[in-house]
Amino acid sequence: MKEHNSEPTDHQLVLRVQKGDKRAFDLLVLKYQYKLQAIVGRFIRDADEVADVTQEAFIKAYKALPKFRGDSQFYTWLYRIAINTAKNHLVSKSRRPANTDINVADAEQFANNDKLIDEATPENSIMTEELATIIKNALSALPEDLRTALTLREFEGMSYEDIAGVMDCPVGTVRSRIFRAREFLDERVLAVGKIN
Amino acid sequence: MSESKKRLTESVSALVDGEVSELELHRILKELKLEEGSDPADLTDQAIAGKWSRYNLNAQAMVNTPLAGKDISQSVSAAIAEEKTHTNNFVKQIVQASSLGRFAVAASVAFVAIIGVQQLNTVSSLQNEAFQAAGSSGNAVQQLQRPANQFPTGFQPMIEARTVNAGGSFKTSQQPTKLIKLYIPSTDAKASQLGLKASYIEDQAVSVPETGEDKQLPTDSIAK
Repeated sequence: MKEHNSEPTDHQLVLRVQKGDKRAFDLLVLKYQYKLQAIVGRFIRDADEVADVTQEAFIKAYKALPKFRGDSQFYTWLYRIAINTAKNHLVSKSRRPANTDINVADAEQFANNDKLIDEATPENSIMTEELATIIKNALSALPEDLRTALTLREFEGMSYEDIAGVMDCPVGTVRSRIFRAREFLDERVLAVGKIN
Repeated sequence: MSESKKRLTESVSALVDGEVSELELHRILKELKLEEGSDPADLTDQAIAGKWSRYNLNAQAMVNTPLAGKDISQSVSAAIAEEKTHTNNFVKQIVQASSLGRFAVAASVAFVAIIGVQQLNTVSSLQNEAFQAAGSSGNAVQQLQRPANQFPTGFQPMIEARTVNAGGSFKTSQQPTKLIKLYIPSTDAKASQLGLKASYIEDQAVSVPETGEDKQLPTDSIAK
C-alpha cells in the first residue's frame, strides 16, 4: 500500500506562506495537527502538554519557513522540528526523552511501519482505529466507480491523469468522482460523530 | 449546497490531491479569509476549513496513520497572527541583486569617467610641457628651420621677403614696400615670422641705409 502523496499540495501551500499568505499555513496546520500530535504523544503523555508542544513546533516551523528550500518533503522537515521540540521540552522539564527514537527517514513511511504503529499510545490507536472503521464501512457502501477512483488515489497514490487512464474516463470525471466519494465519507463520519 | 459552494468544495478535494490551479487555490484561500472573519458559531459543516480538515483526516485514517490530540488550529493561527508576515525571499534577493547591480554599474561608470578625465589631464599637461619646452628652448633659428625641413622636395615656400632683401638685384614681389618695412624693427622677430635665417637678415640689413626710416628706403630701385 502506498501512502497518499501530498507533497504537491504542501509545496503549493509552502510557497504561498513564503510569499506572505498566512492562511496557507492555517491549511498546513489543519492538515497535520493530529498527525503531529500523535508523534509528539510518543514522547509526552500529558494531552495538554502534547498540544502545547505541537503548537510550539508549528510556530517554530512558521518562523523557519523562509529558510525551507524544499530539499526534503515539508512533512519530513516538520516532523524533525516536532521531534526536536518534544525532546527539548523533556530536557527543560528535566525528564529523559522517551526511549522511542524515530529516524527522520521513517517519517515518510510512518503509517506503513507496523512496528511504529504497534508502539503508538492506546489513545492514539483508539482514535485511529475508530475512524478507520467508520471509513472502511463507508467505503464498502460507495458506488463502484466512486470507490475505485478514491481507492486508486488514496491507496495507490495515483494522479488524476493516471486514474483517468485506468478508468478510461476524462480527468474531470475522476476529479468529480473522488470529490463525491469524499463527500459520502465525510457525511458518514459526521453522522457517527454527532451520534457519539 | 449552492453550485458555487459545491465547485469550491470540489476544489478543496482536488487540493488534498495537489490537483488544483493557482487560481483555484487563490479562491480557496479567499474563502478561508471570509470564514476567519465570521463568527465560529455561524460556520456549518460545509465550511471550507472544516472540509479541508476532515478530508485530510479521513485520508490519513484510511491508510492507518496514527492520529491523536485535539483541534489546536485556532490557537496556532492566533499565535501566527502575531508573527511577522514572510516576504518572498526570492523577490527580495532579486531586488537586492538589482540594487547592487545598479550600484556596480554606477560605480563602474564613475570610475571610468574619473580615469578618463585623469588621462586627459595627463595628456594635456604633457602637451603643455612639450610646448613650453619647445618655446623655452629659445632657439628661434632651429624653430624656423624645422618647417622648412619638413617641406617636400622641390617645394618653394612663398617667402616674399627673400626677394625684397636681395637688395634690388632681382625682381621683387608685388608689394615691396611693405616687405621692407618688416625688417627694420627687429631682425630676429621678423625673421621668425618670415622663416628666414637671422644671419641672412643681418647681412642684408647692412645694405639698408642707416637712416632707418621707411620713407628713405630705395623702393624705386627695388621695383626695378
